[in-house]
Amino acid sequence: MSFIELSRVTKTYRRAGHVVSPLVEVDLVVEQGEFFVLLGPSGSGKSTLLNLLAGIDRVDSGRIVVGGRDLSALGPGALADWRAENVGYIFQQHNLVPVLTAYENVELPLGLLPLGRADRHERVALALEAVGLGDRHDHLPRQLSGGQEQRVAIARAIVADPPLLVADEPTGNLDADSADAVLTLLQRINRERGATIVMVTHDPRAARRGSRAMRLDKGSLRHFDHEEAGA
Amino acid sequence: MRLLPLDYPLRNLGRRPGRALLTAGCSALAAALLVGTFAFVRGMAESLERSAPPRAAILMSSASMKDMVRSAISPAVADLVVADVEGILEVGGRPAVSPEIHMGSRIIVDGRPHEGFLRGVTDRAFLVHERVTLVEGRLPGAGEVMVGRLVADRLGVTADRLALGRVLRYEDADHVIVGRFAAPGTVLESEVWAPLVELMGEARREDISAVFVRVRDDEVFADLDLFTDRRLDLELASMRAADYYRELAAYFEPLRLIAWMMAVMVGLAALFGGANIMNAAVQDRLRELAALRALGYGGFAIVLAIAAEALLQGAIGGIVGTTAARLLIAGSSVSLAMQSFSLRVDAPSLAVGFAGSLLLALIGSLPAALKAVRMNVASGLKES
Repeated sequence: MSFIELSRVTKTYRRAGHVVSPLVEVDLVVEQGEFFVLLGPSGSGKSTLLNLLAGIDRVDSGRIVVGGRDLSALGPGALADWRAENVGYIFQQHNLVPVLTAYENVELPLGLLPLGRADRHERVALALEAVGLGDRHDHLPRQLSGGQEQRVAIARAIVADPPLLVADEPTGNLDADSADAVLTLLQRINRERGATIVMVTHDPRAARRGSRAMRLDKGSLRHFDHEEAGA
Repeated sequence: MRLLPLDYPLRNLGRRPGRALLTAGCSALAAALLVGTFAFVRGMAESLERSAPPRAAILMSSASMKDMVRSAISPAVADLVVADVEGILEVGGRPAVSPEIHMGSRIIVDGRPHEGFLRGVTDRAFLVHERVTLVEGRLPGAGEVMVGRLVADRLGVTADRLALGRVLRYEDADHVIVGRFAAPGTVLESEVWAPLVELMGEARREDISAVFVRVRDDEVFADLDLFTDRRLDLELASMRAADYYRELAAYFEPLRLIAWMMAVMVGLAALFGGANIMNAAVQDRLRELAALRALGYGGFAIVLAIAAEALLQGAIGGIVGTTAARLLIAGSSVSLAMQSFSLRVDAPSLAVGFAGSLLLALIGSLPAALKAVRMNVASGLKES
């Protein structure tokens, strides 16, 4: 069953006076529960595509439907509400709030949902436990390693149990061991929680962890062959 | 309503303590200046207006252009008005009518001359000027004076030089200070009071400046006007005391405007300084704010968090500024022309200072908040 459908999606923006078109009439379908990986060189439009299907950016033309909801039909407020309930976002630079503890950072998305304090506490504790940081509740981001920070960011992304997780180069700033741990964690979340994951990476080895991968280049998508890429 | 945790703006203050202190310092400066300006303006206006005895008129020379110092009338006016006008208030069985001389004079204290204000009075002055209370010593007799609490400030000398028993010299005669009086919130406290008859002799005057008359009800003011119209030989004009002091306050209007203009200019400097610092703080956090927007927090939550952060800094600055103003300004006085008045550092002044610092902080945060709200989230996530 398709969960994400992109139909003839085009996105254009201006950069340094030039018009750039990273996506030109792109079509894509991602199935529910799939761990979909999007590869491509820097500037190919991977993050743009990710932002569009996470409801952070808007298409110039075409249509994006996620979980049966046409995102182009939603206003800014409704889109923010939709994101809060349906999307967990894992950033390359984790983007934790430095003045909040790991617990408080993970709790942030729950502040957008109608949950009581006890419910919130239970969910945050479970999320931190799930990423192996059950003993780091009161640590500030600066007191954590890069890998631990990214795991807190993952806990923040899954704490509201969203049906869609988007990850933008989640291992881009990590050493090999930490990157491996984060990818294993994403696989487990995908398997155990049934969340649909769309991950952007430029690392073919990371792409092997997904159930399907495509390459975005010059505005269009094509199938990515791991064997061909030698990964 | 979905808001960011309350701790978020509070803890943000600790990110760059130097920057937060600078912003709070701007707010403190603005708050202190607002307190000072408000205390000055209110002290000036209210001291003059409160100097008017309640329901009282001043009889002075019709040729004096409503200036009591220039006025010269017959000393007999005090008795004539009592005889001719019914409805004059009686206090303790005596008509509340006070003949007075008002004059500026060179007052010598310990050999050094100062410009001061003398008022020649009789014991009936206390029937009219009911705010005046003798707080130390006794009423003056021949060769003696009593001084108001602000005379030292007015003359620019230390209070101990005007202690009881010390000598003031004016009009070529020495005068021993035998009393000290208070008249809270009035300009009377900056005056030296001497016995009327003696001052007339020393100043070689056969006339007096004015007669203060308190009346039982407002209708008597018309009778006083009739009295001055009928007694053309006395060349009198009658004026309500409240109007007289109000006009005197209006004389200082340009000063009031200058004081407010200075406060506004410093306030604007604090506003721009605070806005600039806040803008830099938000610029540093664009990616973080974009991430919060990406999580689903709306523009209003972001604006509120930034405004709360600015308000916290404004509140800290406001507390520091108003406290400093209270410690440094309260109890001090300012001399203008022949009057001195206390700066009114009271609850309204402090409230204006505190509210002003909050308002400036809030307005100063708006450009930064707008920038955060108008930011494209996708672009914000790429900020370094």
